[in-house]
Amino acid sequence: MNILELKDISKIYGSVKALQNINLQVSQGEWLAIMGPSGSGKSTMINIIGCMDKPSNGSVILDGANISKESAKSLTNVRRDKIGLIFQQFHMINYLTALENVMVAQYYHSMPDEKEALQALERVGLGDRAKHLPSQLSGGEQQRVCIARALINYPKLILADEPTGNLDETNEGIVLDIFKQLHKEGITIIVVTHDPEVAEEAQRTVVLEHGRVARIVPNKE
Amino acid sequence: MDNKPLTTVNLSVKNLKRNPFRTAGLIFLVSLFAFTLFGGTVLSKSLENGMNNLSKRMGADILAVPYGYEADIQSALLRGEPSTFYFDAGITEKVKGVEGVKDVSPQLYIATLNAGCCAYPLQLIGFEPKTDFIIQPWLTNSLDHLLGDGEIVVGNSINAEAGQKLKFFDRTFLVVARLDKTGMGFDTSVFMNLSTANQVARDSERLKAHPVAENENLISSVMIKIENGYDVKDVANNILQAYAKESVHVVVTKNMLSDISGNLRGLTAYIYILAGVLWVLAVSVLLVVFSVTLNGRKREFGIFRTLGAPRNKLVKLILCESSLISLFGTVAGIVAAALVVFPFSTYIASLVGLPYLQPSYATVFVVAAMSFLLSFLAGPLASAYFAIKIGGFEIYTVMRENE
Ligand SMILES: Nc1ncnc2c1ncn2[C@@H]1O[C@H](COP(=O)(O)OP(=O)(O)O)[C@@H](O)[C@H]1O
Ligand SMILES: [Mg+2]
Repeated sequence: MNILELKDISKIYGSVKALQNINLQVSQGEWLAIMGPSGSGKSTMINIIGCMDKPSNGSVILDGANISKESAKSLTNVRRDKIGLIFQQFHMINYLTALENVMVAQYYHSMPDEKEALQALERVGLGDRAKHLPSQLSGGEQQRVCIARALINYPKLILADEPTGNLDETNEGIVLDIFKQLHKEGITIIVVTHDPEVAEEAQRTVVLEHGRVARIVPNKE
Repeated sequence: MDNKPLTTVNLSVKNLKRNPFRTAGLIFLVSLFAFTLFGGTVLSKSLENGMNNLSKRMGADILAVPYGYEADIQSALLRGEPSTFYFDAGITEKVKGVEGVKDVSPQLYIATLNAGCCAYPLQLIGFEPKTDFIIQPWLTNSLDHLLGDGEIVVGNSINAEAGQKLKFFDRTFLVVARLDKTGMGFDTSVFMNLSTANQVARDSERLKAHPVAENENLISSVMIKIENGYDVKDVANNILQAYAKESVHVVVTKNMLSDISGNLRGLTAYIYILAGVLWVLAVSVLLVVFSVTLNGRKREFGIFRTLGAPRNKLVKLILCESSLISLFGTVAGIVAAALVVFPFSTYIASLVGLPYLQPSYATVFVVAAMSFLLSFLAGPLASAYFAIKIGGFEIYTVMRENE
């Protein structure tokens, strides 16, 4: 079963064709990597799938529903309920502790639950850092908090835009291990990366060039 | 660390706490406005009130004083300032004979002294109970007898009830009445009949020579009421024509009061202009600060949006933050003003030198409520535009910004 289907997606910014006629199907539980040179449209694609932007043309079918014509408000709800987002920058709220950063996602989703939030932090190995502010955490730790936060509302789909781009090797390894764990649990993962080692872990790699799908490479089994 | 659940209010508080200096500065600014508006309005209302009270109860149309002391009688009346100016007691009868004059009553000011009873200097005023029409209007219950020797009436600020005794220069006096609050010099004055005043002057000689002790036939001023149908200006002119050569000068109370009213209007206008300037300042500084911090906070709001926060929650977050600043500033300003204006009202009154009567609690409450409203509005008003703007931007542009 497909959790995501992009049908003939195009995105045009003024004269820039960021995406052109993208067709892609992602099945439930799949781990997909997106690669491509800078400016090839990777982030634009993540933004559209993540309900942060709308395609100029084509349709997005997410979890069985066509969301390309939805209002901004219902896109917010779709994002909140189905998608966990991870970025290259460690996007923590800097006046909230690690725990509160996770809980704020619960708050905007439904109800903060401190115990569950703490468990999520433990899962990424940061149970003892719950009360720390972002300024007291390393980059790798911040990124792990962001992952815990992205997972807290049980998303069906994890979208990660160069999640290891700012990490050293050790932390990259930790993040990859978390992704592997998620994959085992059956969560669908789409990860944008420049790093072949990261892409290698995925089941398929989509390579974008100039806003088009240049090729799709199946990886090791 | 507090374990409060996350809510819009809690998030706002946490963010405000993160920038303690900015937050304190903004709160201070709002409080400055609330302080000025509330304190200033109570001040001007008190002065207005004092003024109205004075014109309602001021019994005299004209005051006759020794030439050159027109300003002194005002400060003696309004502020209870030490006054030592005298002319011959015979002036009273002479003035009574002038055309248009109906009633006259003399007053004798004995320079202020530090009495045992009070922290502030007192003005002793001798008057003639038989002809008096100045003291009577300030008495809730009129005296059942004319003030005898050794009996005194005290101003409202003097801490003595009828029946009590007060001592000046080792002589004891019986308090027979206390005046209503006048808001002027009368509040710190002690009234007695002329012969008692002369006695006090003689008693004071032990410390310092006093002109009244030497000459029993001196008075300081004559209070004059005019006949119906006469113009106060004409009567004043008549007095001057007849007795200017004997160094008698006149003060028309209506003019004096309207001068004061004019000053008062000026002061009130000044207070409101200042409050207005502060309000505009507060709103514009808030506006600038919100617009500057907005850019720095786009990322924060972008994160909230990616986590599924709807736009209206972010608008609420901003309004909540600015409302909290407004609320704290307003409360601080009003409380501070209350702590200055109410306990120090006597001092303020003497500083301003105008009749000062605090308005009723109901009026004060209304003034407080209006001040609160105006001051509180500053925050949400200043942030409204940015709140709406924040709600309107596209997330992906924000998340892309520091790539
Ligand atoms: N909001 C935007 N406005 C205008 N052009 C944009 C915008 N977002 C992306 N682009 C352009 O679209 C193209 C693809 O950008 P992006 O998806 O960020 O590439 P990548 O993530 O692969 O580096 C680039 O040429 C970029 O300049
Ligand atoms: Mg990108």
